Amino acid sequence: MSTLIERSTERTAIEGDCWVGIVDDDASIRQSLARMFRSNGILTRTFGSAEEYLRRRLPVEPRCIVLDVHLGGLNGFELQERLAAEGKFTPIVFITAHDIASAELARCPGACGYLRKPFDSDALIALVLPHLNGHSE
Amino acid sequence: MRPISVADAPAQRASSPRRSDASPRPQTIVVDESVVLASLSIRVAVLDAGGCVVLVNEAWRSAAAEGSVGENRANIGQNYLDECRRAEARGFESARELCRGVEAVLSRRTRTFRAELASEGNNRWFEVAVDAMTHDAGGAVVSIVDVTERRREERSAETIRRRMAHLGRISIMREIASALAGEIKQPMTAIRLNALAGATLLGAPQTGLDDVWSDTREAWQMFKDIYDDASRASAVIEHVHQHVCSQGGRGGAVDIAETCRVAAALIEHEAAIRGARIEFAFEIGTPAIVGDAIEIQQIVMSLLLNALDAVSASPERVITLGTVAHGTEVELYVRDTGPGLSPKVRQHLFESFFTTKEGSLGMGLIVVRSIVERRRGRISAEEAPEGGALFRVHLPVS
Repeated sequence: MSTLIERSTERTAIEGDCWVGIVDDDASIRQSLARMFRSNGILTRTFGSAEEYLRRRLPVEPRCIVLDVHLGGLNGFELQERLAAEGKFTPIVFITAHDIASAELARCPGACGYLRKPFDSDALIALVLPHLNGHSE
Repeated sequence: MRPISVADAPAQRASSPRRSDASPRPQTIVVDESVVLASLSIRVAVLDAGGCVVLVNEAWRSAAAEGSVGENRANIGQNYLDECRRAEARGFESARELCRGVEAVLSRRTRTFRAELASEGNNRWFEVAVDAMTHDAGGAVVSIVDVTERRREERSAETIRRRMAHLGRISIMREIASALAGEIKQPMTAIRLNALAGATLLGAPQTGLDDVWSDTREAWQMFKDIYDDASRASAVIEHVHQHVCSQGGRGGAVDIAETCRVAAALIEHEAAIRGARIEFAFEIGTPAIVGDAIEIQQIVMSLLLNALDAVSASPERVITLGTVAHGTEVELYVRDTGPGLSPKVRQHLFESFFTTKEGSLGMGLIVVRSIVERRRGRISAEEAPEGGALFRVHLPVS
């Protein structure tokens, strides 16, 4: 059932041009985040790793990425660096279950927010929402 | 060490009893200072205003008779201050400090003087206390305790090792709590988000229909309860995590080469047993770093023990411990002649509970990384150009 929901979320996301990317290596977090956004009328697409995000050809860039810092393979910061190198400065909300040095975040130019798990979903929506209202590039 | 108020004794004897409102019948006690003094195992001497010894206890007398102890040879009738000055003139370091202290107290510039001083041969240690008499005639009480054993104990490798092991256990506990909290937070976050999404999809129940049974409303309430309970559990985990991981540790300037040598000395015995050799490669003039010496020792010891395990099966067992300065950072490295690190091992090296050794919890490097990161440093592991593993720790200069 859960796979079905995730798929259906993705389908809508691909059709819409205003969506939020979710990158987390924990499947439960990915799905629950997608559901939470969907229940608030926000379209999403999920990725299990930074590599998967980079590999997929995206017709429309997401308005915002909710990105886990600790991922298997490339970590969240490294994904942000790769995107910046490609000239993509998509706003990023970092999420993590671990403590993270604020210095590391300060070095990361693309970060528009940082939440520690378990975070308040209202806080996450508040960080994401401003990026959804603008026009698509 | 408590000062001995021999001088106060006569005054107390005159005004006699111990004042206590609770006790209806005051008792008179006569203080016999010679008995009090004789009962003390610490050495006590009473000096007059000029520094002349007027009264000593048995412990002082026998120590003075032995003559082996530098600072308290003076006996009744002799001048203690002169004795100290003579020792100072011989170039005896501790005597100078003691002289200044005794002079200051006798001249009433200060009421007390306390110091831990080495004996003339530097083979014994004494805790010396000089306290001024309160009455007009002046004078002072000198008391001396031999603290050599305690000091030796404090400085013994065994004690340092024990303290290190204790610190290590605390660090490991902290890391386990942190790792567990991290693992539990993930599913907790998912549970809360799912419950919230479920409740949002069902829509908040309309008000004013409380008495009407509704499956939807019941289901909404269930999601709401799941959300609240998961939030409560998360808060507990967060609280414990914060509590266990809050100790930041002190931060002072640490001489890294010196600290490395101390840590290596603690391991040397173990290394010798295992047929391994530790070589030093400290860059001259490596700047001091920010940190706590014990923590840095812990890092070095962990890396050295790790290297010892790594070289155990190698024909050549050499571990190199070195430092290099890089501008605002100091690099501390440990290189071994072991089999090196396979890419798979390297990938999981700094993960909790990962180990290639039997009987290991896999927390050693986690603790090291945690200390390093708390000090705003970095740690990395790689294959050394000559083969073997190379661990590098970068720490900011103070």
